Amino acid sequence: MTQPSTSPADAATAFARYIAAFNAGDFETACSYYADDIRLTIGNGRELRGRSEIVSFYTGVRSVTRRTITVLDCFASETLLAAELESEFLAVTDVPDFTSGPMRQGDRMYINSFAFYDIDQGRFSRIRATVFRRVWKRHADRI
Amino acid sequence: MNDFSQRQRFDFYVDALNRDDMEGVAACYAPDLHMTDDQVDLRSGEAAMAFHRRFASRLELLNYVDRPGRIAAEIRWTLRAREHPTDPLATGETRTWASFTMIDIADGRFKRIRSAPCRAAP
Repeated sequence: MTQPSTSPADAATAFARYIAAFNAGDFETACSYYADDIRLTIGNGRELRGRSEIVSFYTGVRSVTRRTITVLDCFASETLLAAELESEFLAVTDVPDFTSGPMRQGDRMYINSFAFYDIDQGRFSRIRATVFRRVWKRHADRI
Repeated sequence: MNDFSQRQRFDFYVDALNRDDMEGVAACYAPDLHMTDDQVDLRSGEAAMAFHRRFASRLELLNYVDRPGRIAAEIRWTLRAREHPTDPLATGETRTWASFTMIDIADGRFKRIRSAPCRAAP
């Protein structure tokens, strides 16, 4: 199954597969969970419209960071999935214009976020993320 | 409160805040409630009630989903400052924002409320 289930009971399993694809950079699989008119709003309020804009944005993120998303919690109704996520970003190069703030190579940032996924006919039609906590671990702090 | 379903409990809470029913709101909170967002970090039900006495609240529920023990809600909040000399808002001034809020429930009461401001359109 490469799409989110319409059953809330199966939603967590499907969501885990979606996040695993995202973590692996398998955007073809990740995009199979999206409705054609998908809209994704990241924590700073920027809205990405459509699969190609989402893939382009996260391809850029992956070119400068290693990002790992951990699902801390997830539950759903027929039309809405809520998730608590932790994302770790490890800068693989200096990223002065990173969306959450400048990063130097080796810096890590952790974001604890709450995200809502609107479900339409078994696919995500709108994703909205909010930042609950943001924690920086600077490479220089660990030396 | 234990006779309520989780959704009923949440609706009661929203209604109590909107009616300024402080007794009703207090009945929803565990004594060791932890309520936090990007502005406040309140470490007890008593501290949360002290906050509510400083601000009149208006809540509009935009989205809701839950599992046993946890509620996720999208809420539009409006706070209006009551008279208080040290608040950043002037008396009568209002502030409105939307948030994604996670509420943990134990023994029929809210044990943890975490809110994050939502910058996306509802």
